[in-house]
Amino acid sequence: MIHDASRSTLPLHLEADLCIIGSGPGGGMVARVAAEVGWNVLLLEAGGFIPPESMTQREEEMIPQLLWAGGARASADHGVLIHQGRGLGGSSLHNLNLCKRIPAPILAAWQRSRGLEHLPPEMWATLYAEVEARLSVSAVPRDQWNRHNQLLEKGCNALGWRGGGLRHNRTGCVGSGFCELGCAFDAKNNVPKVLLPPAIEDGLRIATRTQAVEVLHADGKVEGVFAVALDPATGRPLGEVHVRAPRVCLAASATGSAALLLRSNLGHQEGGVGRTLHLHPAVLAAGDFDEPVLAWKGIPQTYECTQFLDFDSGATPTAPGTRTWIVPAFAHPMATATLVPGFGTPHRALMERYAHLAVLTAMVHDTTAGRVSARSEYEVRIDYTPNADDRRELAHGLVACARLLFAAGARRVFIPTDPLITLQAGEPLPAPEHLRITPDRCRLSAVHPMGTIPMGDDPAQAAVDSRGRHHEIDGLWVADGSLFPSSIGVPPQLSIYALGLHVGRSIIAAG
Amino acid sequence: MTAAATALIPDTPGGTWPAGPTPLEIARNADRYLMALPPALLREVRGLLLFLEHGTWLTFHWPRFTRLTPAAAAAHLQRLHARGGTQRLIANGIRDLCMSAWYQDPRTWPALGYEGPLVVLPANVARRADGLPSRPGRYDHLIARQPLESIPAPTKAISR
Repeated sequence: MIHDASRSTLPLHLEADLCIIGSGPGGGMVARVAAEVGWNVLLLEAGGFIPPESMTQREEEMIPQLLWAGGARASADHGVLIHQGRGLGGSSLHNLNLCKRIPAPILAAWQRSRGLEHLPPEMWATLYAEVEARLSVSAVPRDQWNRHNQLLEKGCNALGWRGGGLRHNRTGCVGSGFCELGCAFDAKNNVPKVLLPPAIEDGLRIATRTQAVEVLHADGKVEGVFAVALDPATGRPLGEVHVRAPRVCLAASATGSAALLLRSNLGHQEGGVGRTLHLHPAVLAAGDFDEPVLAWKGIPQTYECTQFLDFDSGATPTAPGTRTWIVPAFAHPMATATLVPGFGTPHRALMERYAHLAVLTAMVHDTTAGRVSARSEYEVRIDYTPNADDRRELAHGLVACARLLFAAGARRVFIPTDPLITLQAGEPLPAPEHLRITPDRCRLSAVHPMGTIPMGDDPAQAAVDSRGRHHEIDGLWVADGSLFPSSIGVPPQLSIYALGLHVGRSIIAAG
Repeated sequence: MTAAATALIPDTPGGTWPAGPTPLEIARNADRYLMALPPALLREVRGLLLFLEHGTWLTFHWPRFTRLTPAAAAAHLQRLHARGGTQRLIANGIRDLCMSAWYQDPRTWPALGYEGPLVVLPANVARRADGLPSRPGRYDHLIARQPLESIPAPTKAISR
């Protein structure tokens, strides 16, 4: 059952066969697998349970509940805004349902560099097939592509660039367009809808409003978890929660899981926990069209431009314009207003074009290694400054977005750098090398943190093996995007569900 | 916040711009948002507001920020922004707070052509402790009626 720990008498002392920290795709899948075989499983989630009936489609109400730090989590230099999901279901509550597999060259490169005896590419294929079936993944029918996505397709076709439709995990979608604020119509085939109800029937216990602080261990063995119950109104700690468990699985995201290990003195010198953060940094450009685009209506992302994502030349291609993925990205008024530069009358003039704007985002398959550290008992610090190669790729992506928007019919294009760049149709585009990607001049965003506890079968190289099992601490497991040994260049949710399935079964097999 | 909002979002614009929240309402909206931020972020926001209030001399304005005219306050923010680096981030931070607080108000939406959410709730809908609506739903049977209780006697005490 789902319990709100803030309503319990504190301190709370609990026991379980397995304690899972984090209820996103990784933790949710581990919980499903372990509950299925009858284990006493306790799932801890820092956020609340937000059923569809509580989703209001209002930004000011939903964002503080669905995202860490009220949506204001950022790198330490404020150069990258990092959206990470909170609430029962983690990022599966607010994500846009994109389902893509990790490209084969990346899996092959991991195999070569990290071993991964327990997770060869052919096993990924099997896991993906099973996850896709469980989540009812399918291509979004063309008649459900909104005008915003049709414009990206039009731009790709006009330029002869590669592109295509996307696959999603949604059923019964009414196309309200509020996916990033949680689905009030319960159309997302996500953790709370697909995985948790049957797991609860099998006995799963969930403690919401419970934030793990530290993994407790002694003599090379896991003993449990120290956590705190959080006040629903303020998010402040109310009291202690002690969980005694012989097995603990971290699934608190690439930032949360790494911070937990570090806070638990399990930094692993060689494996470098927290030192290899990738997050697919992204830039965006907006096109102003004569026609109303009404981009907030309908499914947000159904078409992709893959012209500049070239995995055929390797897992991490080096030529400019080979690591960039372009999709539509639109926001509701509050978030849009923070992305539009300036203030006063000029800002208002741009906002008045809201209904006529199309926005494209260029997301980079990054080589930068950022860093996650524990900021306090409850917070994380994220240091991430794109390296020169990634800055070049981001600048290239901005220009590519502008070309697509003009090719689709935009009469002007805005590149929201400081100062704002406004380009008129027919005007020469800026050269990528003239665009300055610095924290104060070009705000980046990221929604895919990964790679902070990269798996590897050699204990000298990695903290956890390719089953997600910690090399040094018996009973400690990891099951989220932390495990990726590099950036993956595609949205990660499907792969994190797959890892959850793989790690969950490995935990059961280990007994 | 009210002084910044007055400077950044003039409430008597020309054209068809409708009435929106007052500067005080903007400040209240911002307050509600800030209430749930983690302590480290709140410390940064506090520092930002202190710098804003007392850092006017950096742009050769002698009164503190809240005593500047809206035009002078806007000019101060513009200059901070133009200097780049941390000062630009501070100007952007206060701007983001004001813009978020302005555009969350439905009175500002008609000028954008935005109709708002499809979900329409009765004004008197019951609210949970986190502020979200509390309504009967299809997952109610999964919610425990009783709070989670401690095990009677832990088999072995664990400590940090």
